[in-house]
Amino acid sequence: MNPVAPAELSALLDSELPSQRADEVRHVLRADPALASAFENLARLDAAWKAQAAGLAFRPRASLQHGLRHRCLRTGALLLGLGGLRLGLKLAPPAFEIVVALAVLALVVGWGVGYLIRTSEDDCWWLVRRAVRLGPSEAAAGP
Amino acid sequence: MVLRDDRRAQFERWVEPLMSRAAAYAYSLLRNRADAEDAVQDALLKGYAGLDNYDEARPFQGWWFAVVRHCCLDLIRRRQIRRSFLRWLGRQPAAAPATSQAEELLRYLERLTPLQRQVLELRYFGDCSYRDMAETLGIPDGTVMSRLHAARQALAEIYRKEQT
Repeated sequence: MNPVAPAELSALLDSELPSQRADEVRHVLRADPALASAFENLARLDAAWKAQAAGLAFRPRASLQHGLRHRCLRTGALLLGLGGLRLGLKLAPPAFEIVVALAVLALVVGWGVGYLIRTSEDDCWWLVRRAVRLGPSEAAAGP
Repeated sequence: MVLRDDRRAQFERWVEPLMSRAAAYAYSLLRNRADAEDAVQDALLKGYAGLDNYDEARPFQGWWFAVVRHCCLDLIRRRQIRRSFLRWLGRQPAAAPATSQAEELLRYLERLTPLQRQVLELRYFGDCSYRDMAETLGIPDGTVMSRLHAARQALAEIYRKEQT
């Protein structure tokens, strides 16, 4: 019989050893109290870790249908926006181009800021508090 | 159209029993529930889009968890950019408080090497088999076995030190 490699104790614990080898390892464990004690200790800790980790399982609010619908809507809105823009540029006076350019700039800046501040709730509140604090005090300290 | 619906139904059937585990695994990487949900949502779309690359002879859980892992790492990279921006504004990063026993386990896992942490996260939070872990991490089954054992020994050592 092959001696038991330490990693095989983990594999036995996880029921990942082939059945014949698992029987051999169990046989060795019965004959070796020190090894059996090490295995029992590992099994005890493993059970505790599994129980702790199980406390984290939760059903996420995520679904393929929702994701696909969201993606379709986004793509549709983008295509519609581009089509409208092209049509507007063809038909409208030059002032329209300036309005469109400003709208595009606002969209890009808005997306960039949104990307940067899209963070945890705590961080969002911190940003709001900071903005509120900065506003009046800066106005008061101005020239 | 029918083929695409079949494919989608099959994907949803495969993914459905793994959702809670995927969320727990994503949480173990991201330490934030909303981010974990975002990562799983992203993984659903990417997994469905890349279903043609999945070889049915291989374990589905391992393949999909690789997608989830990739989405989590992507999110971590993006989050780092946001955190740098907040730091630039003067925000000091707050350490997450240990609110549950699972959080305590996560804190101990942080003290392991990345390679050891990877297998334990998949084992305990993702409830993955050795084949699944090998598929997710792209390593041989034997390496999973030895790495997992070494990781458990290291975690046990940390526990012993914390208890005394």
